[in-house]
Amino acid sequence: MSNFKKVTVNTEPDSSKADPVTETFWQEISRSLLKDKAAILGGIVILAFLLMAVFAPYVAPHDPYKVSLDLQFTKPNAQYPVGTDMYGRDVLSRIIYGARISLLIGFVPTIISMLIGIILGVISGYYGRRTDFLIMTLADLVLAFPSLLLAMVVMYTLGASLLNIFIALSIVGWAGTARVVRAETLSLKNKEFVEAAKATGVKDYIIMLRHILPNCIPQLLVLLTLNIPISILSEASLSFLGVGAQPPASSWGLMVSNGKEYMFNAPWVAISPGIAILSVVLAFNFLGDGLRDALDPYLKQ
Amino acid sequence: MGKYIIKKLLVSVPLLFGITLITFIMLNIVPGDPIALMMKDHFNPDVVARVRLQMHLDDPTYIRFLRLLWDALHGDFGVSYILNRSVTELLVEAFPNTLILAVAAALVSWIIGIPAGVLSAVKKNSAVDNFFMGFSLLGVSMPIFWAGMLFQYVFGLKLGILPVSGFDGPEYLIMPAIVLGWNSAGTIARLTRSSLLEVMRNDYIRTARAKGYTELKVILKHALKNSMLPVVTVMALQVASLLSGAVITESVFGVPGIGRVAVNAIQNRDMPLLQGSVLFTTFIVILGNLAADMLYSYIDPRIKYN
Amino acid sequence: MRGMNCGMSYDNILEIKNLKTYFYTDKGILPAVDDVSINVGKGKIIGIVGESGCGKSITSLSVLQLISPPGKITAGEIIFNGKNLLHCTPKEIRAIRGNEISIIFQEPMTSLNPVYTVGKQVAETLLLHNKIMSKREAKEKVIEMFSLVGIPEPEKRYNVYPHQLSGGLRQRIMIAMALVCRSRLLIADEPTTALDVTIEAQILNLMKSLQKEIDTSVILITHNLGVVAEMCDYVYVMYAGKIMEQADVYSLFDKSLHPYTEGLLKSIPRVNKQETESDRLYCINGMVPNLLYLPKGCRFSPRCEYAMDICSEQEPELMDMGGGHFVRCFKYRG
Repeated sequence: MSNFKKVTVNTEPDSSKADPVTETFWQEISRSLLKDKAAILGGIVILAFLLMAVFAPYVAPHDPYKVSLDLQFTKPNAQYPVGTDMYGRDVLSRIIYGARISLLIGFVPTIISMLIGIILGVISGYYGRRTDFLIMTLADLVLAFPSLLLAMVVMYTLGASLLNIFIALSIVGWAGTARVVRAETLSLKNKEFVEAAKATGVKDYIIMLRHILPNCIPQLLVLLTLNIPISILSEASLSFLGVGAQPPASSWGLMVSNGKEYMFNAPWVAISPGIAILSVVLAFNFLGDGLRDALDPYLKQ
Repeated sequence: MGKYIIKKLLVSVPLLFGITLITFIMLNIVPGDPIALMMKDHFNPDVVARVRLQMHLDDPTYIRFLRLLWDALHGDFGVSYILNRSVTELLVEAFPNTLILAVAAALVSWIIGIPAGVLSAVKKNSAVDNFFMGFSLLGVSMPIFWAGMLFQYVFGLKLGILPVSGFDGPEYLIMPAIVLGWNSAGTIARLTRSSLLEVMRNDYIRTARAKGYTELKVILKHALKNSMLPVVTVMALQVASLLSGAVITESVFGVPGIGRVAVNAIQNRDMPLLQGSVLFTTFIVILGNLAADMLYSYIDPRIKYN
Repeated sequence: MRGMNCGMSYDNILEIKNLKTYFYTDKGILPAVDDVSINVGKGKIIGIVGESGCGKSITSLSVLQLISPPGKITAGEIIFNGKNLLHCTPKEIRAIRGNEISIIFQEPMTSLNPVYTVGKQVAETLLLHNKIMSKREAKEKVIEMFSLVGIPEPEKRYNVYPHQLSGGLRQRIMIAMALVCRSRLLIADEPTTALDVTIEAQILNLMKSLQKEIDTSVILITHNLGVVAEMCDYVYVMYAGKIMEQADVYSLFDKSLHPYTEGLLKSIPRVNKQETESDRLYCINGMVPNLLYLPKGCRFSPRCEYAMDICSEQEPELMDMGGGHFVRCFKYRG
């Protein structure tokens, strides 16, 4: 019978382990994240690209814009680790500088569109009625379009350039956030602490800021981790199609597009920027997954 | 449930109106004379004036919008500036190709994605789980255009077993469908997995076990149907993402579908063509969402019987 | 006859001996059920009483081996009809579940699958354990069962979905599901906690009459002493994974021995009080201990009025006080 192991039971409180009751939200999230190896890897990669982007002039071995037609299509070697492109430009340096564009696109339009979404969402949910109807109708309209097509329409109107991509992505991206924030606001609006705040005469915008929005943070963090890689991929796609960044910018998407016709004799020109895109997006997705796992209990409410 | 369907249908009408309005406004507020721009080199003011009159380009904006609505309801989206053919004709020609591609990609995504998600959930944290989830993550993170080019390079250029571009037969469908499908499959697999794990935490799963079912039966009979509910919702969103993805896939693989039409239109600043393709595509998306809504309400008894 | 001596007689349908079910979490080991022994006499209603987290539910789940990781049954025997369930193959256990031993849970609102009709879900159990039965036969039996448990218009209710029924009706469905195979043993884990008081009375009466009619034995798990008084023949009082006292229901209420039981009885608010009693509601001092950090010695000692020095040094054993009455307390040593 006794194939059961003998088990000793803990009778002394172990003070070396963290007491979960007194941890702050951020401490708990960090602790969870640090246990997730994929998330850590993702974080390191993102950091690496960030540093690469910031210190590009020091990291890049060559001038990304320097044309040397006699060096066209050099195969990857010691001097040009990823070879050169159709204008003899060093692909590696172009990729390094391209990180600036991609990371900027990842963060800036995402944050802007989420800010717009947060403001409109909380106003919509809080005030209800006509305001809600108007804002949500607008959001539904935006969401009815396949996002890439809507972005293309905006780019048509504004003209193809990197700056306009920022604008286009901000316009396309706010509606999803707005919906989520509105839903949270609706469920929190009728809770007692909001009623209490109103009863003591606290101004509306303070209620929204101090009471409602902090409760949305878990959801917003998740959205952030989802939207950043989407922005990066959208810009890459738009630039690939020719309606985004224009030459001679070193947007990774544009680089892939330019390298397309030379796939046969110089595949590295198109493939390597794609690897960069993949790496960054993958890293954000790893981090995002880890964050979502860490936030799981908060999202259940 | 009939009321539910009717309500949804009614809501679609203003939605269609709204997206037409937005599209019209965005594409028509651009300053500059499109006809003159097109003619650049052979600029002839008389010809420009005549064309503008023909196309009613000098009418007040709201008249032009109403004319668009009227024409659109009759299936007329105007004439392409560049190709000088009816936009509707061009769309009708191109749409079947996109449809084939999208359906093929959707099938790939379900056939691969759903079993992968189920297996991953059932064998959580095992090698199987890690493999499928890695595969899915890759599908979701790879830029479609890059994946497409890689496939072209490996299977087209190097191995020579599949055609690189064009759409003249089923073998042309294989690579684009797989590339587009991989992306979709990734989303489906991840969602199926998380949905199934979620469902398995419910009390009625405990009840099913307490009845004496094997774990497999518990999953197949009790968990799966419930976990499919959110997956069906995602399948609705798939219509939009597949069409967006098709735009890119068609460009890479030279598939003559609506996506490529739209890309050419925007590159050539062919407004009526772009307008027509965007409206048409969005219309399809709205239709798809409606269909998925109805499917969902049919599957979930909580909606069906209330 | 109620209140009969249910000690270690041979007339037991279930004997749980020294059961240990531990949870191996990454924060430490939780001894949720720590050396628990329970006997269920044939045709009797046995009560297991205790606060939330004392291990009563885990004990019942262990019987049917429905414990999920990180929980694990690590020691003990569970003898049902002469067989040790812990030595049975998974196939044998599955044959017993829902068939010879059934369990109903606390949450009628979430224990039924929302996408299937209630009739189908009950018929499922029948068809699972009676392979030769036809679907029509099963449906008939289910409708029979529905009327037995007091569901009005049973034929109509067969095709109804769970969300269309009230909590009380759903619990009746759960009971029907549990007894449709005429189980020998029914485990009811807080069956009425989530229900209104009037519905609770109905369900308890139903259980009592069914128990007589089908001649099944019952393990009734609850934190409500009123329910225990109403329903049970013999009672086990659990605290922090161990049995603190066990006795037939009259002895437990009349002459409770363990300070914890005393505390529980005193905590029941009474409407007719003597004038000498204070106006405050009585509550036991302190809180249920965190199973990760159990106190040394008797687990109840930090909250006990009668605690002595020895209580915080050694754990008392379960002592036989005669008449089927056992208690785990140093007050009664030697």
